[in-house]
Amino acid sequence: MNLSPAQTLGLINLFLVVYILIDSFEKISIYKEYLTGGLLSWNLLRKNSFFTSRSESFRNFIDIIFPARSWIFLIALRILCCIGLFVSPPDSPLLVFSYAILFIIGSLINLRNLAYGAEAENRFSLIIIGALLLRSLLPTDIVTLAVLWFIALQVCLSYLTAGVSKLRSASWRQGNGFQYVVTSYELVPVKKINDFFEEHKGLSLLINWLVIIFECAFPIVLFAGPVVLWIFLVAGIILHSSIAFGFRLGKFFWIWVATYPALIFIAQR
Amino acid sequence: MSIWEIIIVLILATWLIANICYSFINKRMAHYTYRADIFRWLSAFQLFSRKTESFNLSYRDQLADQSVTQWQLVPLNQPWRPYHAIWFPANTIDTCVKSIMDDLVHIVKKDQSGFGRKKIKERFIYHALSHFLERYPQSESCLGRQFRILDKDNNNEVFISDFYKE
Repeated sequence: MNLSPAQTLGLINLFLVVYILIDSFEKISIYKEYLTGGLLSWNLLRKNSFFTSRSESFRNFIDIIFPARSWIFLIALRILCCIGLFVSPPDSPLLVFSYAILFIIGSLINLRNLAYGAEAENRFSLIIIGALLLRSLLPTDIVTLAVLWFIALQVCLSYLTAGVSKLRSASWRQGNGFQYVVTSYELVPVKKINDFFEEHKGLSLLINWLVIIFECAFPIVLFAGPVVLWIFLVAGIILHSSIAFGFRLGKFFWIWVATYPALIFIAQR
Repeated sequence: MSIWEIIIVLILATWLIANICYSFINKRMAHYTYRADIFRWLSAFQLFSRKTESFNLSYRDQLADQSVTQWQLVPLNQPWRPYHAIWFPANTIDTCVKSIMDDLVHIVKKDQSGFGRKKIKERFIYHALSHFLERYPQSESCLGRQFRILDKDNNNEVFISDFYKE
């Protein structure tokens, strides 16, 4: 399967847009939490020392954009920018505008949510959006190639970091990490799955090490040839689908799989 | 290569190198990036690497006659549904509450002496938890509400608040 730069960017965009739409509609569906009394209300969040210790001009600025009404407006604008990505012709100013707004709002989402920790999916999406924004500003062959390399290396880094941190963890090294995670009702609230892996310790051990090997060895997809590439990509899709269904972290699927076209493009070179 | 191409390539290279440093020396860098990287452009993904502890959050009320109600457990885990793989907005609030509980427990464990107890009450996370619990109904004669955090594994009490009234 050979992808042209335009096809690669189109596929990345498609997954990115699905992620942003799901995330934005989820945020709108819990709008009551942004109103007074909600856990995400600005009246509450602004009391975080991170904000109270900032300069007055900074606080005045965020006091305008972070209250519920302006915030929901920004989330709605995020949805409109996604539509903009679909309808705008390649290399048009609308594309630059849409990426810029998506990058700014994505950054503000992280800032507003600092007290509870920025969402991992949103942090990763900013890497992709930021790169695509730079590419839309100067859509030359060199910049396109640099952007696709950047996205491919960032996804390799994300898997490698996860794999190395598992190797640093005693429970994963002893082969219990996966079993602990998958038998925890807190993380996977399906009794049948908890019990299944409780009974099949050998299988848990095998998956434990497959996950570590997959994550630590992931960067080899860039130079190991098409067979290895596709084995890793299929394994990645299985991993993220399992996380989506078992752990209910579906947004991880869309944003991580969004980087796979960049891997295919770089690996085929 | 034009000057603009060089600038863009340099921006991407700097971002990637910063992320590599952040990924592998996270603890030391986090000290600086917490205040500098306000938009969280740097990331280190360690999904499920650390053994997470699970806690139960419960609350009780003090009534006008000075009696206290039974502890009420706060449900923070929605029943599993297949569509949660795609659509699961309720997870946002559960995750926020679990995150502030983890932070509170972390601070309590660091402060074994108990001298920092007053400081804990002044912290945002303490205030956010009490604010969150306001959504659960209380009788009109309620004088105050108290919450506690229990370690799920051994049912040990990790933290208990004073009675407070928002």
